[in-house]
Amino acid sequence: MKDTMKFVITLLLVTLISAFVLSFLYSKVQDKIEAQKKAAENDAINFVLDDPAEIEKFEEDGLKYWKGTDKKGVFSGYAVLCEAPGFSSTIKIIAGCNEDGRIIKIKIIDQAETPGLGANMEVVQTNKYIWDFITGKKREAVSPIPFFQEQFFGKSYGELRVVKEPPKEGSGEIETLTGATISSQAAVDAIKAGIGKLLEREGSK
Amino acid sequence: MKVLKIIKNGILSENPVFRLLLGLCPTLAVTTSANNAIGMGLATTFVLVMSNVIVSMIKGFIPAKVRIPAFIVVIATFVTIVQFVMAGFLPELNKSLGLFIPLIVVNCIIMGRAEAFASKNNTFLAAVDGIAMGIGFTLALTLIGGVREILGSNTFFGYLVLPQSYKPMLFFILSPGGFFTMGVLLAFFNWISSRKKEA
Amino acid sequence: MDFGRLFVIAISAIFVNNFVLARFLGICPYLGVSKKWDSALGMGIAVIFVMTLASFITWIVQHFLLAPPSGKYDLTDILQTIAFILTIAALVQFVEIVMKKAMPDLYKALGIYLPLITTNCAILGVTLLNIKNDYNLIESIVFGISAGVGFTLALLMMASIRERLESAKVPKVFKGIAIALIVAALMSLSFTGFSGLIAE
Repeated sequence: MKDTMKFVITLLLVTLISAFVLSFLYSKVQDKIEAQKKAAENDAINFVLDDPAEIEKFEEDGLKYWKGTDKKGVFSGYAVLCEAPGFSSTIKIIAGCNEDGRIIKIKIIDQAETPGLGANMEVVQTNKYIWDFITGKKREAVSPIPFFQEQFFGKSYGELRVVKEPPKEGSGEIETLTGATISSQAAVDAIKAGIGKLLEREGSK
Repeated sequence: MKVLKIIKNGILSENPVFRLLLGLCPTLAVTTSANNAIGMGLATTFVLVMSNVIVSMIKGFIPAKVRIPAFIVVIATFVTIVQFVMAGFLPELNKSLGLFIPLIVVNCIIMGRAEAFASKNNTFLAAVDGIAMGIGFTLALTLIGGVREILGSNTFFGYLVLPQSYKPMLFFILSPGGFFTMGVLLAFFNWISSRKKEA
Repeated sequence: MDFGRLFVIAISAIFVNNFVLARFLGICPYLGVSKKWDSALGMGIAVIFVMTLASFITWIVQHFLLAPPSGKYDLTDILQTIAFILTIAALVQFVEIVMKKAMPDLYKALGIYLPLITTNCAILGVTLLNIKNDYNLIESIVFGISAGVGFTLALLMMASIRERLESAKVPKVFKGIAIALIVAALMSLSFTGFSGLIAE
């Protein structure tokens, strides 16, 4: 019995100290962590609405969206949080669009798809070679936007369609990521459903 | 002299990945790029060093029967600290390592070293052992990550290696490629050590 | 209840995103306990059992202790890792004690695998994924069972191959774990064939 008490007290002490240390540290970094969590969403909203002057947030029935206005106070677009289950994770996208459903820009904010396949939806194309460090060669900057996401810009949400061959100009076609049709389709479905719901909600007002 | 031996042990003769075969889950899961591999290696090294130090400090106070749960709490505490740092300051790395950061808790290297080394040696040696094992782990991960990244996506730390017209072998980035690369590298190190023995 | 969704969760955890072959969780026991079919079976059953219980209990811990429904506080960031690993460790101890008393035969068969389970990252992985994927209690339990079944499936396949490998002529440097990893690579490659299953 004496031993048991000793065990319990030891473990209790270790756990208490650990909880104390962690709460102390957390109080120091809490602001930073929460800022990071919000930053991802805020950056995405500002990006998809081309830096609006003001953002108003709406959240109802599980639909989360934002309304952006420019400097003159004129409506500049909606941003909406779109979600759909992909291959191995839930894909979360913030899509910006105007009132008739033409996409301004999109940004994928969360996914954990297969590296090398679906995860390429967040990969930026690079033209920098490792040898450049030795030869000292400077290269022109390439688009900092992942090539998969860039395809959505300026397209109408209703026309979005996943295709396997290079997409036709002026159509709503999105070229699938190599070997990741499910992930690509999920991204398109998420945006279609998200913007669809948003317009329905706004149209009924 | 003992310090040098511990360092050599951790990095070469008892390399946690290739010789002791510990901590294979993160070894295979996060080595899709050299960047991720280094991030995971350093995070694990931090936890390993800190838990070794604390365990060697408190070993006298903990009754033998409850040492395992007590060690687990110590390890989990440092893992949580790593999670704080990742979430607050390295959001990109946090995202790509994902689930495998909390899973450092169950990385057998850390528990293994706490049991086999730190609970039997003084604090200084335990810290050295933690650093040596951590470096050994990080180097092994970076090697696997480097090989997989170069072969599988034709980049190294995000920079292209061969001209873009070369299409990389996607296989190496995918999960079968992880097992395969690890298997071949393991055989390679077996070969080296068997040659040493003969010589 | 949505049985279709439960079915998708199960199929996905067993075949498509198999815990061992696609998610790399539980590699240590996968390579360590797969030399013999009998021990693989014992380990597999022990894992399914503990995984199911752990999914259930950690779900309760998460939703009633760490982040209670009242929403007054949320300790997920601070204490989730510690709380879950301690819950699992305690659960394994508890199962061991109960099994020893109530089912001595079963204990004889599975007992030696139980302590190994605490540090099996598949268990902690399953419980964390349950929370990350926002599964409800039923979904969590189904995910726990199917993750365990997926693990056991991979483990048993590996064990039956390795029993034959013993007598095969393998290059000296590949003997042991190295050739097992190559086998795992081929197995994982064949499992990618299941990826079409959850397409629609």
